[in-house]
Amino acid sequence: MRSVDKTKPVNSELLKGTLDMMILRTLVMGDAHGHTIAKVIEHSSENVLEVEQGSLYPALHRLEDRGWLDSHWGVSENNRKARFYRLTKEGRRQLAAETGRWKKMARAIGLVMGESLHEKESER
Amino acid sequence: MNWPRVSRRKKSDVEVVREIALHLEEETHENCERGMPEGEARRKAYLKFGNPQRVREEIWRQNSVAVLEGLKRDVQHGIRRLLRAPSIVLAVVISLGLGIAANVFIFTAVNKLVLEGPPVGDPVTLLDLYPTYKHGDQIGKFTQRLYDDLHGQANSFWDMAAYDMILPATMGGDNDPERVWGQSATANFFKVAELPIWLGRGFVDGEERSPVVVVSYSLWRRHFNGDSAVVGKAVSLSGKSFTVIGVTMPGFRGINRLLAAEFWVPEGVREQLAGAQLDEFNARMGGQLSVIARLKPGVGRKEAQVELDTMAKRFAAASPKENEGLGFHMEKAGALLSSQKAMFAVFLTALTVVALLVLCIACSNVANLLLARAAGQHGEMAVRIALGATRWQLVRPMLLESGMLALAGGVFGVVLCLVALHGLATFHLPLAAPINLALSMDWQVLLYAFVLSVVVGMLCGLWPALAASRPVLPNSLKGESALDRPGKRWSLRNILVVVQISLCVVLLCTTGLFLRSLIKSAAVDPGFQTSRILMVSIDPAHNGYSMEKTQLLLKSLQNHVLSLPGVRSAVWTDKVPMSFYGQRDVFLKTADKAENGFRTEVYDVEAGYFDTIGIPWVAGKDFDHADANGPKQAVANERFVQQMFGRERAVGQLVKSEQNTYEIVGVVKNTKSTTLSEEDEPILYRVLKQNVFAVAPVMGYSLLVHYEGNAAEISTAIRREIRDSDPSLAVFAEKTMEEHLSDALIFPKVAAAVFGIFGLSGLLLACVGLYGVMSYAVSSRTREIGVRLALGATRNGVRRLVVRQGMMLSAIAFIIGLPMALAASKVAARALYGVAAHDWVTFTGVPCFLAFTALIACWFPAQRAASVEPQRALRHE
Repeated sequence: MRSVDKTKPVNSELLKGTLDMMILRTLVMGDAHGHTIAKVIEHSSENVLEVEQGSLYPALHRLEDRGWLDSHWGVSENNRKARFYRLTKEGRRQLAAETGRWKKMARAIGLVMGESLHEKESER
Repeated sequence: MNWPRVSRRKKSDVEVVREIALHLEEETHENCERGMPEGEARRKAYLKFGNPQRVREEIWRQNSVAVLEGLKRDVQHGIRRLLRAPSIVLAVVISLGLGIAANVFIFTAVNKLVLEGPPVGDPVTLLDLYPTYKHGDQIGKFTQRLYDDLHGQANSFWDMAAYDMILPATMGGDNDPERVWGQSATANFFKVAELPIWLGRGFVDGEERSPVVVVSYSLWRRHFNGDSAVVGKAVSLSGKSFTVIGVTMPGFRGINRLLAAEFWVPEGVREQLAGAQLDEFNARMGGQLSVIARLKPGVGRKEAQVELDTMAKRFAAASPKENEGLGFHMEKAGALLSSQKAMFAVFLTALTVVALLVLCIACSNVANLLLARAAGQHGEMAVRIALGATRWQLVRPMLLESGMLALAGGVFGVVLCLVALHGLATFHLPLAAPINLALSMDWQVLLYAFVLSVVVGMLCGLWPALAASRPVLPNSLKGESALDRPGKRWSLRNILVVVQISLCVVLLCTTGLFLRSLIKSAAVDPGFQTSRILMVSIDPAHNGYSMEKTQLLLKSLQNHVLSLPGVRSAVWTDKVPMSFYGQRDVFLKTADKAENGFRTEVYDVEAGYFDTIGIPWVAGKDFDHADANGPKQAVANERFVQQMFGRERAVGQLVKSEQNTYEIVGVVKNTKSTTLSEEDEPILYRVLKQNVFAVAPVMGYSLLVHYEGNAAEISTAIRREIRDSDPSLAVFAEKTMEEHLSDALIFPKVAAAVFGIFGLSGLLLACVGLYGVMSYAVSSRTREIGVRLALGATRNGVRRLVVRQGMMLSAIAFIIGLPMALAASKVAARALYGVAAHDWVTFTGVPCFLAFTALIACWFPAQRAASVEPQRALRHE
């Protein structure tokens, strides 16, 4: 019997898209394993985006399947065997496209929301 | 869909586990560094990560294909469930296997005769050409002259080649000399047909008259033991030395798909092998050349036909006497002519219909079995529906199950069919001419078997699946049958049984007719003695013997055989009656006009022939040892005399054929000549030694021996005599007259056997079906029967109740089946001998037999019903 997973948020697709983009962005700075990626996203968002770290891994595998990432086994800073991810050429191209789209979207949302934000500020 | 991803899911999962472990380690380590105690650090790390198991599952799911997963689960579930009921699986696989095997077997024949072409290069541009006469009414073969004219003038073709009619020869070598059949062909034959060669090469230009021979793959395997060094070796062919230059690909038996040629020699040497007599005979018969032509690249069939039409007009104008109404007909190379196709179509359609009938019976049986299974699952179905399963989710596994069963049946059927094909390939058709019987399984046949299995599986499974997935919920909750709808008298199961039995009526009636026909033909008196007669054949003419030497050989062999112990008499003839072939000539009274002549079977025999095989005399006497060059004598049969002279006295009269005049010295009783089922034909027996010079018989000479004692011993002795006088002579067709007559019944026998096998398997399946339905009815009515018995019904009454229900179904089936059977017998009547289409013996016997069988099938369930203990039945469930 087919069942719908009720725990999944409806807008998970949107979230997935942004998570993918953030992962790609993180890897521009160099190869990293999963834990580092999670830390970097957390830190660079000033701890606002505290994603459930587990959801990072399905995303990593998905990106690798699409050919945007490469992976290889290496040794972590703490001398543990870890799987390192590297951005591929295609991944870079994808990141550029996603970033452009995101900027456009953020601007558009900002334009729509700008007034109300402004109002709230003035009330205060 | 990413296949490598699906296949390495397991490996990838191991890596994910390691990745997650590392992540947690790093996080714990970091937390520790911040000053948390070890346990708390680990707990926080897990909290932040979330459920590792869920991450693993999600990645696993990402890597798999949802539909396939479901399918795989259903298949596994299905196999588990089927393995729990091996008896049903066995019953279904065997019945479907039988049905599918029958159909696939017949399809191989259809495939060979209709679909498949000969294995030539680029079959699209290779055409068979035929000349037509009387403005297209009559289709014929090419004469040498017509072929030369066409070959020289046609522009649409890249090239054309010709091959001659089939040619007997004796092939010598290390093994025993063997009689084989081959063809002569123009030197460009292999080039035009673009025939691939297994070993060596085909003919090349300039070999028109070279003593070279190409042998078929099967002959190479049989006669040369598959020796790969055979190319370049010399072999004796009809006493002449030939060089083997090549071996054709397996499966190639000539362009014509019906005949099985086993060797090919250049056209120019045909005369040496056939002897001048045969060619003279051929010339009289008109053209004998078959022509294949390869279209020029870029030239279509239509354009070629237009050119041929104009050429035909030109030829007709040039020699109007020979070529009046000439035309040309084209056909894809190796394709049957439409007249030949029509002949096979009737035969194959009949067989296909019969095979489909058996399959239908098998199908309804399987559907019934599956229905019974579905009935057993109504509880499960009801629960699943209550839990919200959709209809499709219930039907899918059941369809899959029946699909799997059908595929298993298909595999079994293909195996059965392979066994049958092997049997057919080793079967020797008792015909003089080499008929190509080999059928083979190729991808088209396998595809047919596969499609048939899937369709059958769906057909069998759909009904039960739909019925089972729609249980009557309240009934099911009460623990009653969830499939019987209230107020519905005719369940699907009953209908299926009625269908089965009525199909069975059709099959068995047809079987009965063929059996009766066989019995009738076997009882026919051929008109001559059948016991203690032995025959053996040699073919000196096709073994390099001149006519004079042939005569001497026959005489000396006869003397040798006569001196053997146990031999009463021995005579040579050019053919044995009932050999499926004959030689005919037109005879008329000396004073008569040519139009009054009629076609007559001609036998060349020796004095003593009639007494040896026991044909009674009516008038006159035997040949009085006529001189070879003296006036020609003949003995006629009664039919000939009646047709030629009416009531006049025949002995002493003269009759003439185109070439000769014969004096009739005696009259004998009629005998069957070609087949047992024929009407009596006019026959004229001529003196063998007066006619050795005419035409060498294609089938050689046969020695008929009237013997006493052990046939095998005498036959060995005769063979030794022949071997002693010339070891290079091939000895063939050694058998007793009883065996020969039994061979002559081959067609009615095959028909009766085919229908017998089909009919009996149909009967068996229908009985099992009826038994199953009645058992099911009894077991589902156990409580009702208990109540009846408790209320005072007698056990006999209960028994009657069940039997009545079963016989009712059979009676309805008879009412439906008998008219169908009558219609079928009208079609079958063409192939019957001595039996009317509405033969009352068959049409009363078969229903009685079937009714009796049905009674037995019902009796066991009835017995079970009668032995129900009311006490227990009422407490049942």
